[in-house]
Amino acid sequence: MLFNSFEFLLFFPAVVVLFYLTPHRWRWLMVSLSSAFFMAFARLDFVLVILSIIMVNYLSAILMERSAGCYGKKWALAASLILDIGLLSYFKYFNFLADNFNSLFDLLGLNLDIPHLSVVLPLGISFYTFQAIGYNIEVYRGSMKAERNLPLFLTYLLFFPKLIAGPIERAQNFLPQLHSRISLNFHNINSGIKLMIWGFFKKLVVADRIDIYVNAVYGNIEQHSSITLFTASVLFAFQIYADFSGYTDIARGVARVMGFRLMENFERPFLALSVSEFWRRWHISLSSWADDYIFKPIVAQKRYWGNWGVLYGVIITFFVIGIWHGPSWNFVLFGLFQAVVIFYELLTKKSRKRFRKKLTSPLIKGLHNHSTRILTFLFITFSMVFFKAPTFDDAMMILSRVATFETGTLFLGSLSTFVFAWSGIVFLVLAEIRREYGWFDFGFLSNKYMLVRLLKYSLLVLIILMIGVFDGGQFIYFQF
Amino acid sequence: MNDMITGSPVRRFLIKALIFISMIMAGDLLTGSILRTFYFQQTEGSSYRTTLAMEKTQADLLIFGSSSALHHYVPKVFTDSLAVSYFNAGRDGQSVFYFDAVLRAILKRYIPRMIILDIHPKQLFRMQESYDRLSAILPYYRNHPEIREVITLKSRFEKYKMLSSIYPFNSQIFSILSSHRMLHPTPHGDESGYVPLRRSMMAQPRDTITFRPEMKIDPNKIEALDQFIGNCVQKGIKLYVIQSPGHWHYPDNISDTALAIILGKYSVELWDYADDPQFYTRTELFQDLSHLNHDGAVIFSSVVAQRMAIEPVAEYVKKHRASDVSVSDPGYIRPND
Repeated sequence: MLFNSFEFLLFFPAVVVLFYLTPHRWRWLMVSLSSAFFMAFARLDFVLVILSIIMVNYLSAILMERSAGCYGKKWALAASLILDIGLLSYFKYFNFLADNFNSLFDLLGLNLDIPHLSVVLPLGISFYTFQAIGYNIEVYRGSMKAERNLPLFLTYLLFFPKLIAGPIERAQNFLPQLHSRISLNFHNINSGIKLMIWGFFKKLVVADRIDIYVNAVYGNIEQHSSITLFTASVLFAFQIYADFSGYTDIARGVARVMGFRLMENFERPFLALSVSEFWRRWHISLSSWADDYIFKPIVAQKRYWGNWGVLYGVIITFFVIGIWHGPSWNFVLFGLFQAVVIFYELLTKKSRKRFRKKLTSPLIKGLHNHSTRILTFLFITFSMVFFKAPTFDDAMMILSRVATFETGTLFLGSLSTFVFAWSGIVFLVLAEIRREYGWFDFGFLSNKYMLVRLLKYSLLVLIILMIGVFDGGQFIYFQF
Repeated sequence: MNDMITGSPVRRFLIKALIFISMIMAGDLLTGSILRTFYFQQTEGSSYRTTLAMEKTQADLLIFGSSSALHHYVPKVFTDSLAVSYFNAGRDGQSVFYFDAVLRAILKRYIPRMIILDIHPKQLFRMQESYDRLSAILPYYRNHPEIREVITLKSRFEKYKMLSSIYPFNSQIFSILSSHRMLHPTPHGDESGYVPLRRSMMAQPRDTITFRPEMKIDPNKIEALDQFIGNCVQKGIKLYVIQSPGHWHYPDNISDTALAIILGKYSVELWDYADDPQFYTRTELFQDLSHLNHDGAVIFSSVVAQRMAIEPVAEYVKKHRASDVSVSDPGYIRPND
């Protein structure tokens, strides 16, 4: 079931009412059943996949805690990791690996042909598998206790707002909320609905409108000029941000209405001054997960290697982040580009800091900040070309054509699409700047009068009705 | 204002929710009414042409189809050759669902003498955009109950979405305003429905289109086409089903068979110009791979009009009115059944 479907508009209020009517001790059952229904709406067998992951991780965490010796713990953790990663690889990476092995065998002159599997990727598997892995590592480290209450653990991984596209919620943040008694809180309902409306705006007005233009250009790359490819690439960066952060806002809003707090996943990433900072603001639940469970352990283990250990850690971390997005070398390259630039930033951190200190004039300082911000944005934009382009060759064609500045006119497509898309982006950017710096804080947006505040959100709903795209596709991150 | 609402949290919340919902409903009603008024005051553009087709035209000859219908049939050629009035009800990017809905609305008002349906067999494949683009007829949902059945193909919740006054005009504000009669007090050229294309394509070899094996015939489209042809036959309208020239070639396909079966059911002949060398060998007659430019359209229209002139319409009408063909023929087997 999609958040932007009519079915969800019926499902959500029904679930909220049932949730608050159900006694606390039975709420896990109500949430789990509604989550299973939410997932089964796509395919029933997807529920079986997540149930098997839940059982494996539930048992392995208890086994780890019961194991007296270090080896027992390690074995239990290894078993759960093998099963989690094995299941994820089977569904997501088998055909990719088969293709690559087949090419390698061809090169070696071996006549082996690993056949493709005909399996459908279960929705949300990358998200809930990483949550399960994170939980087991925390139990292994002893920083949290294994959850003995199977229904609550089931609810943690199944919870429908975050089931399909995250956030990759940490067990230590979410499980305690399941234990606590949640009572009806109208402040939560208010703020949750506001978050949802803002999320729908991002998705329907901004992301899906841009999608029409970007698809028209990327679907016909060779026909378009440099300026058009550049514009489409910049727009795609905004699209993926509006799409994914919109989804997250809706998910967090839905959870908030039910009294749960999901973690922030985005903190105005396009205002970052460096690529490292961008990754502290973009898909925070994934980047912090990778930081905690991949980067830091590697750097700690390879601390004697000095900078090489850091480089190794960054490369492995961003390789995982890249391939997590999908079984394609484009995603691997996307990750590796980030790794190279982040390593460069780590190496030059001190010299850049010294340089910035030398800038005494506020004007020069401001110009420097803006130029680094724009450079960071452009780097992210062009690395995201590998995200969108269907093949490596297509991505390279786009980049080379943009770089050669071929003359040509700007393709506008439908003028209304172009105008709506840019209007949505301007609105989104102004809202982001307002949140970051507190600018444009005029009365209408944060008014002391309740009526004015309600008017603001009702206007947002009317704008969604008027220019939102209702025939748009699913959320981009569902495919991951 | 916050303090003005007193009482228990439940009461305060309910009052706030009521105010919020009332604001949305009032805003929706007001904005929707303004958009509706402005929508029907357009004097150019595709929405204006749809309004002409559904609510105004009384032409003898109607052209139905997607972009090839809209750009390939020149009114003057037909009015001069056949001495009939002409209106082009084609619309870019539309499918047989749209043709079916527009014809239903027209038949509520009058019965045209002749209809040209320009259709490419590929239009019978299932494509999501064919359903999405039914949004073009949402503004007519309220006043045209006959098209509601077609609109529900878009989604089973469409009738609930239509409770909103803004929704039928979703994403149209820009075109509504830019085509409004305040900006264009005198209509310029859209009265016939025909939209000429003026540019010429660069010379290039003929393209071959291959269809992906996963593309499947859409039973809803077969049903809509059946309905469209059945309506024409029942009402005694002379129907010409034509496949326009294109600068591409595609191998024989399942959709050809599907179209042939349904035309065979009503004994309607397909006039196929897709592989006519007098067009595809001359790239200067095309604007792009799928569309003739105006010069090409004039030649094509002349060819079609001459052929139409050979067959006496009156005889055809007489013959088919007597035959009483049932639209829901139980003997008909869908090609994909």
